Amino acid sequence: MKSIKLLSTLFLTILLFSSCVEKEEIEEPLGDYEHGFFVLNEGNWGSGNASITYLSEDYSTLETEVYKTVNIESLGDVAQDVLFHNEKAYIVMNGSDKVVVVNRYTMEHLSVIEGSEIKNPSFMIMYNGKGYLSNWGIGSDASDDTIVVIDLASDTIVNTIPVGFVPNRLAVVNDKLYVELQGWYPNNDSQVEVIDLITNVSIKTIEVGNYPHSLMTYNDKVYVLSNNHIIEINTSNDTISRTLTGGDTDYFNYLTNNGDDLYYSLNNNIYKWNIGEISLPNVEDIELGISIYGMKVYNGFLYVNHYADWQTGESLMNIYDTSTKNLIKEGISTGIYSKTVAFN
Amino acid sequence: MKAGIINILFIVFFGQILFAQDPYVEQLDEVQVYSHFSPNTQVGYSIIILSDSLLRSRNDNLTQLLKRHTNTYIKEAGSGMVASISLRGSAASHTAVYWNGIPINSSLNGQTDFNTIFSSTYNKISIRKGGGSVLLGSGAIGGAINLENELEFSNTTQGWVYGSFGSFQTASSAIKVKHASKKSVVEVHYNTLSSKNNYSYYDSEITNENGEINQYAFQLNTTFKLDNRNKIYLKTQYNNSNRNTSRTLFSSSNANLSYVTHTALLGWKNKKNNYQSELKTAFVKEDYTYIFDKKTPNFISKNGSDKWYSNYDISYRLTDKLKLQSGVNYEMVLGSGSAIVNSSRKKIAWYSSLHHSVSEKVSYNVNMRKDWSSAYKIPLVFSIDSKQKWHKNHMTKVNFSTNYRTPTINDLYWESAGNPSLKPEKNWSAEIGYQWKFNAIKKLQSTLGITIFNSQSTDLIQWKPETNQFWKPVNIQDVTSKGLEFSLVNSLQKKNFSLSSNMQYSYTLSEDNLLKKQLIYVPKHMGALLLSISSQNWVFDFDEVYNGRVFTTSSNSNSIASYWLSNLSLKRYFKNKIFNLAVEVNNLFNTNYEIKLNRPMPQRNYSINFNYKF
Repeated sequence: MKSIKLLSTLFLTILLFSSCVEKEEIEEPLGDYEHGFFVLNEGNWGSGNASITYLSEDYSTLETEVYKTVNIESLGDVAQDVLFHNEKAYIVMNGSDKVVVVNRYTMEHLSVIEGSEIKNPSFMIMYNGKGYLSNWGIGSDASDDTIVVIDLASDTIVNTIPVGFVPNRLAVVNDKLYVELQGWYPNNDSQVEVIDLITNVSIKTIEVGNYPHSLMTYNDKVYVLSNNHIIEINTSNDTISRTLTGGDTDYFNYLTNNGDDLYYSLNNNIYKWNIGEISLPNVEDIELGISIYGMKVYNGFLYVNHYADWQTGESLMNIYDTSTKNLIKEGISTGIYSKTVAFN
Repeated sequence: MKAGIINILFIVFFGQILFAQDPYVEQLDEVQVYSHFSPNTQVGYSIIILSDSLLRSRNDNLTQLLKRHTNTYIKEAGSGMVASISLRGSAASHTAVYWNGIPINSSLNGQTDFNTIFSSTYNKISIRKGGGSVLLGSGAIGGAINLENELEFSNTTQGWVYGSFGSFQTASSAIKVKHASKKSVVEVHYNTLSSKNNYSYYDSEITNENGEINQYAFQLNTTFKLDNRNKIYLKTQYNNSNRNTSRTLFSSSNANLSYVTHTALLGWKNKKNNYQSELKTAFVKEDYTYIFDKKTPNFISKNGSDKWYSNYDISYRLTDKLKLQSGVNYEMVLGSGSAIVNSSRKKIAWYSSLHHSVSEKVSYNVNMRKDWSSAYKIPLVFSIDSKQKWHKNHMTKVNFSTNYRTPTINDLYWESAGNPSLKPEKNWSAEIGYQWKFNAIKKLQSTLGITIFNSQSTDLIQWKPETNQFWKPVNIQDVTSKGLEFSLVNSLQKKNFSLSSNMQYSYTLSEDNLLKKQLIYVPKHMGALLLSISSQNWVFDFDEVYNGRVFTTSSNSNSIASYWLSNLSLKRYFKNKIFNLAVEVNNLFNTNYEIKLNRPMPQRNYSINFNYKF
């Protein structure tokens, strides 16, 4: 493993050197993990076994537990999200009430953002030099939910903005933050809250239907999944411009896009909807047949995490070429409850 | 590591030269009864009986007692937290727990939390390993445990007071008062345990926050002899366990779990020359309250069940060698709560047994049972077991049984996830055991036991993610468990001096038939050594547990390390043994160990206790 890593580093270094010769300057490699991506593994709730797996660009090098290997310490409990800003990566630890900041290329620990403001953080987004962190507070308490604002230069908490019940995924369009509000079972919420990022004040809540559970932005529009609906929000006036309904009443999940194509999961299969279409497809785009736990499109490839074993949450990753639907790589063993993928 | 080596040497060395008898573990029952836990009728089973004197020597919970004396793996989510057993590599719900013959595994999750039960409340605890559904019903797959209050008619008034204080602000107490005559018996028990439980996590700045424990139990038992043929009895118990749930190394907790049970049992025993019968009717009520965060005490999950259970059992002596036993029982369970759609299920069962002593040397039983349930179809089960006494010192036991476990209320009716079309889990188990009694030197009694078992379970219920992102229980897993159990019990009695040791070792393979991997949280190797030396008024006890590595992922890619754990106690009797004081050191060698992932257990800690009989 180590020799492979060394070899690949060497190989990359040579590549860099050769390309740099043309530019007549020499660039040092930024770190072992510069040319590849991270798989964030939630781990089992309460077991403190969250981890990060590294996979090289060409999928030839797989390294598990990279945070633990580099820093000789465990990451913590339930890793929920990972975001990049400049040379830093921010890892949101839902169970450990903190955000771990590392060097995105070397995985070296830089700092920890924690404090009484942060309790059950879930997702993060970067905008204008600030990080916005959704924060449940006590899960069951509807009155302590916030967006914690973090200054990304100093990695300190600078503000908290109260929001509705259990904020999760976030999107920013035109100086406005869109917050998915899930509520806490059995009291599901059904709204997307809009916050003006100039004044840090909540300006609107948009009713999107029961239990919104996936949210993204594309072309200045916000797309939300709710039950078997895809809801499109027009961000110029913050109203719903379209609601598309699937034939099957089961939940849609894990929204991700490849340009105009939006991918989502339904019944263990993957569906594709082009935003130019007026209705949702009846037939799956890719058949998988196994419970999906997360997916993301990057550079035309679809990375799908799914269960290998539901008892302990050991997960596998399949990689598909979205243009041919071909399975490029099957069953990469990534970790426990593999969820998000982040590309360096 | 160093401690581990010393311990190996200790066991090897002393194992060779010491031969003694664990004074507490009785192998035979004095009274001829037709109990489903009696070694006299269950001839082909290995039954361990922990007797009154042992149970009253300390106010342990069932977890500590079983670990120390029966070489059993019990998983704890931190010290004193929720604890579940795995007998012979089986699941927690595959050990059926009984209170005076009444099944008390939770109707909601099918398990008993061994940290909520005070062992000193009972005067007899029987551990019956191996499949036993035919006589014991649902869940007796890995084995069964009976917590008993035997009430003896004798002219006596006696009492017992126990108190202990220990590290982490732990205090426990027990009081028992008994008044008995030739006609009636009344006894009252009261037990308490409270602990701050704030031990520090080794190699860390963190302490076990939110680990407080507050438990108490109350019992009232009474019996009357109506005449020489009839007696009635009433046994009642109230048990209240309130615990905060410990943090882990990496996540804090502010949750609280309360578990309260009410149990009441009314029974009538009737006997004549050739037959005896017993009618029992019982009520068992359980209530779980889980507070997600004590800052929002109104946001709770509160679920419970009520169970009515009746059993009529009759045994008839055809000849001196042939006995017939038969019974019917009826069970009704009603589950309700914030996550359970109000639900009831009813079950009626019939069983019959033939006990045959062919000769002095050979005896056997044939048993059969059929259940009818309102919720699912339960298969007919049967078992045969036999004992062969080849020589006064050599004995073999064999048994074969088919068994089942019914789905729990949670499995069936949990809101928007329960699966009402679940079937019972099925199992067959077989074992062969050999026992050899010998005297290597004069005054030294030794008993060697070896048992080999095999158990096949099918249609095991697993919660599995379904298409709509919800998890649902389904009958999906098949498991093969097999293994070996070894024990060597020695005792040396001399005037004013006795020495005893009990060594046990087990090897358990328990694999998912599809993955061909060891099940998570089932150690392959388990060992225990108990050594007791007493001289006049002094008793020195040393016990050692070896817990093998356990896997935490189904592919066996991750695991928790094995550990050795040693405890020491020194006891001094005063005033004709009516009073004693003891000092105990737990985790003598300061072993760093975890039972569940990232939940460190306490390092070396101390306690003192007193025990007073009157």
